[in-house]
Amino acid sequence: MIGLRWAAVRFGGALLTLFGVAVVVFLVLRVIPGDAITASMGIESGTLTEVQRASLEHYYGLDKPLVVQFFSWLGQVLTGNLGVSLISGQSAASLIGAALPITVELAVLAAVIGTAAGVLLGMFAASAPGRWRDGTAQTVALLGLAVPEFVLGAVVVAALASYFGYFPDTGTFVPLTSSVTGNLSQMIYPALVLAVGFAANVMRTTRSAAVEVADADFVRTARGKGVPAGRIRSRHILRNASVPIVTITGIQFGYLLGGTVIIEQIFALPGLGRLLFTSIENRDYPLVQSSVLVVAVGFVVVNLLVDLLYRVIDPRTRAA
Amino acid sequence: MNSRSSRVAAAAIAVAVGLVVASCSPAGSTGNSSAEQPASVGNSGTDSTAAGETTGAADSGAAASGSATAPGSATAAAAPSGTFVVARTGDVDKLDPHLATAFQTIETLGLVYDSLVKTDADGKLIPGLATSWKTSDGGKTITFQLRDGVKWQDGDAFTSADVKASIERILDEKTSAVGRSNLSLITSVDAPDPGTAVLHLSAPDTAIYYALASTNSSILHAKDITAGTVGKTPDGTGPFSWKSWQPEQRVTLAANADYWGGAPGVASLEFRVIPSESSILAGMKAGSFQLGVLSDPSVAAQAEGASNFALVKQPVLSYHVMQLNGRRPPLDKLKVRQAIACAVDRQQVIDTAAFGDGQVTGPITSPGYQFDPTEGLPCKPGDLDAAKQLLADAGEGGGFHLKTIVETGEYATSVAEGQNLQAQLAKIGVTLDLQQLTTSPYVKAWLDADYDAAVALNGGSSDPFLMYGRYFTTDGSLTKPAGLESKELNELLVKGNSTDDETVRQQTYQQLQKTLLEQSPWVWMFRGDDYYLVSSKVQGFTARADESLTSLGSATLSG
Repeated sequence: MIGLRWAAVRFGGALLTLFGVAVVVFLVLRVIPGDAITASMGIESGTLTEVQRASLEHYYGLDKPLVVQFFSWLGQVLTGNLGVSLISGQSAASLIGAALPITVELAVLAAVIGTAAGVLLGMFAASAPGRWRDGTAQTVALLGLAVPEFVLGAVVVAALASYFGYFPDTGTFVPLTSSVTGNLSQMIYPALVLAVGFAANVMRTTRSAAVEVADADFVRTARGKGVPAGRIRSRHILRNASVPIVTITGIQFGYLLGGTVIIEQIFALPGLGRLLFTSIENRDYPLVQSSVLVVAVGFVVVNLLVDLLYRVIDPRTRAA
Repeated sequence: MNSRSSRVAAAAIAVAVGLVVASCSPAGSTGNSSAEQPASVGNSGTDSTAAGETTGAADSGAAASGSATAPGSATAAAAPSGTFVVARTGDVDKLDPHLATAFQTIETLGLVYDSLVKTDADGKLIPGLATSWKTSDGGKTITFQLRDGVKWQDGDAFTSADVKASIERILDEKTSAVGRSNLSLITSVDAPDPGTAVLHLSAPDTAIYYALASTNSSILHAKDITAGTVGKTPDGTGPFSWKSWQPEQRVTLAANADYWGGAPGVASLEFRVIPSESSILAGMKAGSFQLGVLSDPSVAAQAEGASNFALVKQPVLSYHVMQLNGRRPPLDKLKVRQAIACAVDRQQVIDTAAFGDGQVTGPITSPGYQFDPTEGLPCKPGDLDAAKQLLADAGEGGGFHLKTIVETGEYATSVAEGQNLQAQLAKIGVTLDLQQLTTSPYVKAWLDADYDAAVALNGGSSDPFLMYGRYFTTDGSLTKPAGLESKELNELLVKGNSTDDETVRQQTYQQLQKTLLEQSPWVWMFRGDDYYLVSSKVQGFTARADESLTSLGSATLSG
């Protein structure tokens, strides 16, 4: 049973978090040198006359005081309007709406593959701590952590093109709803690349949690009662080791929501990471602010879900 | 310098944003980074032809010819068919040609809009929407005869009213048009009849033809200007019509069957955004694109010897340079600047920073004005003894430090150039203190002339005045970062631009180049290459020094 007080505290905390993110991002964007005019024109901005500059500042909304800029954007957001991109003139909501599903799908695919592989590998390693299978699994995980995503991604793209004459061409992105195979043929490679690091983290957490639980009294008791080894692993060890696994999965999933920039660049996926990156380059303030807000909402929601999941997995946390 | 956007800054901010989100979030985590994107001002035009009588050679249109041509450049005159896919790292950033600065935007809108005059692949002026033009009143009046039968995308007829409205829009300061400063001598525009447009100038201006040939001087539909719809959906008279734009994914253009220069050879043209140059190379190997546009020599080096596409290297008009700030000591001494210019072995910079791809250049890069790139320097580049002697003569034999700004993330060779220059100049006791800056801080420092030396990639033009008038004339818009005021340079620029006598122009601009090298306000190093990966199925694509893709208007696909 989820307490009302708990829900209110979490909801209030989430709102404060989002407001904090909005303020910090707004300020950070303004503190760094340059604005939409220099970002767009480079040194040509030096050739502008005063009237031209003033006209452009008005066009980009830079002529208003910072406080007015912030609250006019926030006011729009509260009424459901995420603003309009300074560059393309399209609504931020429609741009984010097109990019978000791609990033979410990529993150979900990577998380599913990464969690499954990580848990299996972790349990495999924990089944014989200190033995060869443990060492092998840990080495594999270390490799997964050590190879940067951008290297792995570039190698995968180059290898697919050179040896199979295949390029995961996402110039025309195929949504999952139009064609499952078409969509997966574009998404599976970037998802696999992302899943490698994801799996390595999950594996290490799973292994250490499982090794710890395997020494617990209730496991020894179960063994003494003659419960089969497989059942002990799945019902007793894994279940009790799952709180840290869920935690690390949640954290990493949140990371993927805002952190798929490199992979989206390499595989030319028009996702949220790339949208955010390009809009920062262009100093497209409304789009950056709204995109970050959406990423932050994603984080907050994922964390709420993780907290809820704790309460389902481990009844002891419900008292908190 | 061009203005490709701040990759590294953006990457850092992306990381910071991730950190902010993570730290504000109960469970915490980090963000991420990376990527690529370009931008800058392009310009065009070249050579002599200049004012006065000029050809009206009817309908040659975009069918220019020129340098580096793709393999198998036969021209098949089949009916337009197929989709031609171009992969490049960046997207268009706006749809108003008068405001366009990004290369991608200029390339794309240059295929949708037309200008009064155009330039061919050699930079020579050719007719565009004007079939002929002539000057009168001592060069202060230019009368354009306009092409008949040209239609806008919506079917309306093109007339002189469109020319008048377009140029007046550029001149209106409130438009903030990029090309305004290049047309600022225009005092008024007349449209005496639908087929004639007349420009009145305050002084003769030969460079104006090249300025008018730029995409930034595109002729817009007067109706769109009045309705305020320019920049929403492009409506031009070019070889392709606008179809759709999915930001950061692709731009799709459709063949304009009624194009005055002849219908394009393909039914549609797609520009896809593939942010990583390595991925463009991979896509070309897999046959996903017909044309890949690259700028990084290290990626291009991997493209040699492919079976299904060719690598075309095209020297461009922009030039790599080390600007010196002659207003600061000890660079205010002529011999100190000359010593630095003498000490730099240009070929070594090309070999170390650009994988040997590039050509040593003097100040003027236009194919129409090719002079000895070292005439005027007091010694041979790379002559360290002569350089040391010059420093000693200037009383600076003990050496000194120079605050040197280098832009990171904009173009691939910047940091390597800075490091090579640092190593070379150390041999004469000059220490470059390199400051690597991302685009926005670099641009600010550059515009404020807050440096002793600046490693830069500056945009070129076919017309020498358009290249250097802004820096070295007394009323130029970028005299501060130019670092040097010179009466002689000002006079030469004004003289070259006010005459249409080609012999005088050649002599004047040769003297300009010589004087620039003598005074050594900057150290001119080299012109780099653009790289095009051209599928073996493509016919009729021609790479151009001004980086225009107008030959796509006549390219065809086989197989």
